[in-house]
Amino acid sequence: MSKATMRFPLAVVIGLMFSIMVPAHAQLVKIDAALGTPVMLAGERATTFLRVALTGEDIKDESKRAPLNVSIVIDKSGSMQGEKMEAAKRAAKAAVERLRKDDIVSIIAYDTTVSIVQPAIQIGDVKTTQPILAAIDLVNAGGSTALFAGVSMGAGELRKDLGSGRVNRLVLLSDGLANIGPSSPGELAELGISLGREGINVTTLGLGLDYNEDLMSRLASSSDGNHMFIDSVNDLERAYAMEFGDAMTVVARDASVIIRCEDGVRPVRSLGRDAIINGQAARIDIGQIGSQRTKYCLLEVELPAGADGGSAEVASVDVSYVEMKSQEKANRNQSVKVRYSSSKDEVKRSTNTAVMVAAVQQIAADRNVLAMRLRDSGKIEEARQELLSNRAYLYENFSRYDDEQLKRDADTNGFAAENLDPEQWKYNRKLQQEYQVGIKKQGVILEKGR
Amino acid sequence: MLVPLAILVWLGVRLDVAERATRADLIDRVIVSELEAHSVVVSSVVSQWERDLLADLEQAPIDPSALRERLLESTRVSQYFVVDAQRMLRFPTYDDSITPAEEEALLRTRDIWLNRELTTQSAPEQQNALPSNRFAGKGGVMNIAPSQRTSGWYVWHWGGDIHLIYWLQRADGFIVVAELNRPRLTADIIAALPHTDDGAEVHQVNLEHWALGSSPTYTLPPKRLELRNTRGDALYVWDNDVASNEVRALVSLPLGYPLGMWSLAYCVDPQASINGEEPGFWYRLSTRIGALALALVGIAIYFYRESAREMREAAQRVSFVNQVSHELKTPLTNIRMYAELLEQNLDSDDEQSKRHVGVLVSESQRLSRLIGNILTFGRKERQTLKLRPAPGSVDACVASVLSQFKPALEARGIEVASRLDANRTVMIDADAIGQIVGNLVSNVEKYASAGKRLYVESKQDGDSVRVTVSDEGPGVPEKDRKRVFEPFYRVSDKLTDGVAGTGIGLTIARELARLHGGDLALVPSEHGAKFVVTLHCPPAGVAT
Repeated sequence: MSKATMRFPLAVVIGLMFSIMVPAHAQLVKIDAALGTPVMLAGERATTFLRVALTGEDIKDESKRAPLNVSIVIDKSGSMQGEKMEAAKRAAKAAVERLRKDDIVSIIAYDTTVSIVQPAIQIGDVKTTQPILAAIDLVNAGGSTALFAGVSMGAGELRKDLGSGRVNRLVLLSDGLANIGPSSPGELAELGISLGREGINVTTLGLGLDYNEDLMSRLASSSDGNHMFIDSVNDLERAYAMEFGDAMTVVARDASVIIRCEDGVRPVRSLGRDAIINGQAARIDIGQIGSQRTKYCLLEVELPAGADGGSAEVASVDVSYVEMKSQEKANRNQSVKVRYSSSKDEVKRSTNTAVMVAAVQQIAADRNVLAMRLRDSGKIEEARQELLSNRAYLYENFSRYDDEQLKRDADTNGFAAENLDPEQWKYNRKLQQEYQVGIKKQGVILEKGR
Repeated sequence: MLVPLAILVWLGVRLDVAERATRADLIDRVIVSELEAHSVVVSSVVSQWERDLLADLEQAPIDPSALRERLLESTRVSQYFVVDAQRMLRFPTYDDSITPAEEEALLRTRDIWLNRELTTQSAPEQQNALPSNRFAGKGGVMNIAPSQRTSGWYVWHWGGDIHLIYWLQRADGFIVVAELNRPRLTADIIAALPHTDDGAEVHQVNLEHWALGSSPTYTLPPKRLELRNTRGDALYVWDNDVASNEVRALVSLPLGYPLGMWSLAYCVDPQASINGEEPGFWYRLSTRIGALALALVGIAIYFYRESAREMREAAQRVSFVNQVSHELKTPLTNIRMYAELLEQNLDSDDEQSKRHVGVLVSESQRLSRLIGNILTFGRKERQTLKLRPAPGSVDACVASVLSQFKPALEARGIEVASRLDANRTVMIDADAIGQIVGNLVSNVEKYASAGKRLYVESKQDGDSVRVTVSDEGPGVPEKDRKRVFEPFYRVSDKLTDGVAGTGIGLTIARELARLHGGDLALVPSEHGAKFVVTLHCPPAGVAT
């Protein structure tokens, strides 16, 4: 027997052994592609919502989470002086202490200039985190606010370890207006888009009432990061903890959904997230998926009229993502069907509550954006009416679907309606921005102790 | 006193201005080289982008949806455009699939795709044409048409700052155009530039300094380095030691193409001077003046030493002559005596011989006077000069001198006029008086022959006799009046051009006059020089 013939069966055996040992893709992301009304009234053209929800599996063992590559970018401008600075340092130190040996951290502090307090370092490479904590302690407040440069430098530190299978996140804290460097929300959004595509998510933590919430929220949402409004220094540590907690639970990245509508089905619009709709196909990027957290895209579709009792394919949904742990790309497919019935009762009974709640939340968030624009242009009364009407819409759906999220959103809109006067608006607007980003991108928001 | 001081101050200020200009130039060069180092960093970032974009555009698909997909992965491109071989914009176009972002992109790049001339002349469907001269325009930004170049930058202004495009003309005929994500480029440049570590340091610049051979260290004022955009706003600040928020750019260096509208700036506090902690203007001025005064003193010492050396040399010369004069005096006396004897014994009708002998006599007299002067000076120097008064008349002495000089004066065309009124017999040193008057008349012969006249006056007033010798020559300039009596002093070269002399005549004349109880003075005169000799001449027989 020649050596070559000996090898062939051996290779097969080894290959088989591996295929047995590694279970055929334990699904780390649960995909739920569904219509808001899976049963539609027969005989008429109608629109409904198609939601593709991605839910991260529960990673029970913390040691199984993907390692982090995180840059903590702290505002140390003059306005941070005192209590704020101390609280920010405490929060950053607490966050560093939560890190694991294979996590990488860098710490940037910016005022007029940018100083790299701690260049990117893997926690396991130092005996203790003590020198890092000591470096944070040395940060002193004073000067202007070079926010753009702070983000640039933080991204530079993260870039050293991109592609190492880590969750790359830049956590930006600012309490004031960016007054050195590019400072328009548009420019920061453009930077955020680029960083997001590179795999860097920028989470923005706005502290107090003097930061530019448009800039901060757009930077976060364009890069698929979280945006939090921290109105009390006492909440700083909790905000960092939430953000790090969110980063530590990421199970998949670069999640992307392509919905290919069948003939006769028309994609109308995407709610919440931006979509590229090209003919019958819509592509929507979702980004990172966290353990036990659900992110979704929502497409409004127009369905052709169908006959009673009939069913039809609505769309084929392709989902792709990269698993954090294995760094393998997963491609999954689901198809979405619709049934037609002439029974209104059956249509009502079969309604998918989760999809409808998501749709209501998105519609209400858009109306909230509209109300904010009215308020921005000085139309306080019109804004109030819009918000009150929005609250009523949310309450109505809360009673219909019995989902607490809708009640919470109704309260937020109600609070907004009651606090449109100039002295309250500064706080209120930040709260509304946080709410909008949170709803649209299903991101982390900070529960206020109000 | 005020005039030299004013000159000193003026020179000091001039020096200060010149030095500051020199130093500003030096500082400028030092700063520019520092900024250039940072500029290289920026250029390397831009070059990296250029390389990556080139590869990206080469592979970019032409199909709109594929290009949109590609854009979703691109960190550097904010919008792709595709132009076909007929210069028609093929993507994006206003069709059903256009996204809001693409509409915005078309709006801000409108001017690039629309040639205004063409719009007015062409059909609407041709409005998307990309005229080749659009690439060629814009002040040399793309001064070569794409047909000759395969790739390049395009810079335009929109919304207050530059926008950048990088384009590639491919082998398939398409020009694929990428509008860059400017904030991302800015962020990459910032990340490549230095960060700022806490703890300000004093920045010192060593400059070789030309003045007074020293090389002082100049302390530049606290600086701040800035990357600035088209409007001059700071995009990024580093190495900031300036306390105030307001700064002024001391030196500004434009970045390389295509970011030529951006610059690197070396900024300082608006109040700060380049000299920083250096002492102020008045200190510098006073040190300049001090240095200048020192220099002038140095020059004065040099010239003083130089003239002292000349005088020393002259004195040495005289000293030597003094030594030999004793040896010369005896033969000269014999020559003179026999020449005078010969003159008396000559036939009165042998005019030629008489004239020859006259020259002999006159020249030997001149020589003996010279030797006499030297010997007298030597005695004066050795403080052994003494007079030997004897009964005699001043006028006789003066007449003797005039008669001795007569041939020489006549030869120079000098008319002699005398009014002598001191003929009483008094105690005088005839040799001394002869020497005094002889030196004065000799000077007239030498220096004032142009005046053509010699006046000699004598007047007796009790024991005092006054002899005045004056001429109508060029006279002695005011500044030299006192110094003419100094040994070896010469009035300006102009006056003494071609005239020989020992330079001790007047010195000796004054010394002798003083020994004679009087003085010799140069008194102001309407024209020419006027010397007045006063002599103490007690009556004969009275001991002095």
